[in-house]
Amino acid sequence: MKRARTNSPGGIHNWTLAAGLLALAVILLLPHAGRAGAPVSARYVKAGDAEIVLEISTTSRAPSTIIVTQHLPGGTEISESAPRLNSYRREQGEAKWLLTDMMPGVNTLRITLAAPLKGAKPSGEVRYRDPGTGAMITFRVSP
Amino acid sequence: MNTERTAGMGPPMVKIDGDRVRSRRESLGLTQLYVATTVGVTTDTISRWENRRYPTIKQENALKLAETLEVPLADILEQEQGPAREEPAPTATLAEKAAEAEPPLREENPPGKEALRRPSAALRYGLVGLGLLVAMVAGAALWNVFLEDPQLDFRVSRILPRHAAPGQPFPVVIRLDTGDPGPVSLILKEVLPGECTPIDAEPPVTARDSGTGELKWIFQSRAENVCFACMAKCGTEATTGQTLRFRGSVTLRRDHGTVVPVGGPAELEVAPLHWADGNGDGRIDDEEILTVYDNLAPVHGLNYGKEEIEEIWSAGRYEWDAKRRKFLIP
Repeated sequence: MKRARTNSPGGIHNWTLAAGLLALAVILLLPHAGRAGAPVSARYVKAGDAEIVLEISTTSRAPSTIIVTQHLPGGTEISESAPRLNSYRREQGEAKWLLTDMMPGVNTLRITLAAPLKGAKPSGEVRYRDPGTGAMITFRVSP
Repeated sequence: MNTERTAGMGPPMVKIDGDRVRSRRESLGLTQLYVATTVGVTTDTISRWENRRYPTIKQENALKLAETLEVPLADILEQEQGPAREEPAPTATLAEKAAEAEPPLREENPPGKEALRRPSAALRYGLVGLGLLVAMVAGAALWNVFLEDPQLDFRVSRILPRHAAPGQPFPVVIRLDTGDPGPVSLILKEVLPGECTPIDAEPPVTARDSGTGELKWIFQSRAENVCFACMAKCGTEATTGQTLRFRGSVTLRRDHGTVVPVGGPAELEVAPLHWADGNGDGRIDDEEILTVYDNLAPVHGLNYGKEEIEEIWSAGRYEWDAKRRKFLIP
């Protein structure tokens, strides 16, 4: 008599495990991949010598208010900035912008230093509240 | 004639030609039921005779069969050599033999005609079930269109700070989701606690009752989401720890005047803290200032102290001057 074919429990578990691992991999990679399609993204256009230029891109889904923090080596002196910084703690090297009434597009944040950075690299941080969920979103930017 | 009777072996039996029987019956337009009734057997027996499942039958029955078919007996017998041996039907059982004597139960389909088949019971029940399901879906759709309460799509909620300092202004924001992009006429009433005084509102209030503290907006919205806000000043006589209570309601004209209470926070505590300092830690951090901007972004033209908030946020901290009843920013 021909034996009926059935799915063995071990076979089902293997497929389930593989599907779960694949989903986990997608989820872990999603923040990086999603950032390109996120409502707010950022990149360094220039991060050397005495000028630092950070580009913030926003889509129509972006919030109206974004906080951008520029981290510099402690004690760094800033000659000028565009737009004007809301705050700068020189000792900590923390410069902050509060960008309001954001429209879709690209915003350029520029800092001119009194002296070039010697080997040190700046880093940035972007924070906003997701318009849909209200969740606080924070991501770092590196040159 | 293929007839044989052997002493002691039962009634005489004959061999009939089933094909001849069927042919003669059909030529006369007779049904098996008619023949069975006339002969006195069941239609199954007639069918077996015609299909040669009974090599021999009782002569008595054969004579009746021939009479019914209006032919001599010889015309329906098998034309074969030799005597026919009496033998019972090879597959005949007691039940089948008993059935041969039973009256016919049902009329067989007349030859040459398409019988109308009644649908099976399962199919009938299935059709009834499907019809009920369709009726239920249609009924639910009609209920949704004509009888459903439109208020189910309408939401109104209040956004209120957790605390406010004596003598300091704070915002009261009321958001409406009308669920209707078309013109919606409404009346919003918001009652401020007696310790508070309204100093600004957007859109401007239609009426104000200084006795009850009720603010009234009579408004026609042309969007699904509408935002009302007012800046209220906490009285200087309010004491730290005191709870101030708010209440409000919205009346929509389209809902025959149904009154919907304003949901959301309805209490605020008097404390020497800035209203934007949500967690009361003596500073306005990134999340708190973003929350302020998000909540008040829909309100245009309302002076909610934006500059002071940004200054406190930039400075990183603030202090309360109880004597002068104001915030100090280092």
